[in-house]
Amino acid sequence: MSEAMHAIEPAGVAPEEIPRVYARLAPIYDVWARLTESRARELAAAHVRDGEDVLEVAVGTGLAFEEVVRANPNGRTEGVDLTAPMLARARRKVAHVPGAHALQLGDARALPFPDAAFDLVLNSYMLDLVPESDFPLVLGEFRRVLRPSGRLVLVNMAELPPRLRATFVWLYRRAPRLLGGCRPVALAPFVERAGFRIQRRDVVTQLGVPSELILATAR
Amino acid sequence: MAISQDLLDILACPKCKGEVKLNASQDGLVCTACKLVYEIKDDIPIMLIDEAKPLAESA
Repeated sequence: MSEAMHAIEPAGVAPEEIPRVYARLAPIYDVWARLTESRARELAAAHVRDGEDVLEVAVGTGLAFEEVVRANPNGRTEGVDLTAPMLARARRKVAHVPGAHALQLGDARALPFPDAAFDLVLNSYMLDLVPESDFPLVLGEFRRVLRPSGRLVLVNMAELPPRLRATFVWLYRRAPRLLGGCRPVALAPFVERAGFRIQRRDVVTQLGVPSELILATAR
Repeated sequence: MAISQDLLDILACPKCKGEVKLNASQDGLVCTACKLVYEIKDDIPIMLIDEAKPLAESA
């Protein structure tokens, strides 16, 4: 990750505005997400081992959550999101999927779970929306709810090719809400500092939009 | 669809991370330590500190 990329701070959407922005995006979100994010989400869901206690933070409309629940029929899958209209969509998607699963309104900065409750925490396209100053708090919460041998899978917008980057920055400055307020982030150092060991990093590009997958284990 | 015991077993107060219990009217989860009630709306618990109600009000 270049320093220049590191420097795109979340400019347009204040944290307290996020639920409202995403409530408005909910009806169209799936279309955008299926086009640019579905492959990365599939790869993230592939880390689920049946029978485990799994938590997805920021389930949104449930695109990955549905796959995670299907992959974990003998385990337990929990999901939280900050936005009620997104969660309502997620709930409809998994209503008839077998397996123990539940959804709650929750904040990644203060997760409603005890310590060491999960084997796997999944979190897609959320940190690229959150101010860097919140990364330690959020990653600390992920670490707290994971068991000592637990795994963390993060998916976020990755560094863009220079040609696309200029367009992105232009659009991001003018219409951040259109992009859901997301921007590329360099997460690895934050993840290491929060008590994880990074096992692998992969970049998946779909329709020209790159996503980075990070698999880390608690240490 | 009511809140299952399984779910209650794993949910914790987002503030103190302690135990939460279903209230008598079954429409809220109570943290006695923080004296807060987390409402359950459309079967979805609202586990947000900012949206929790003081215990005395709705218990």
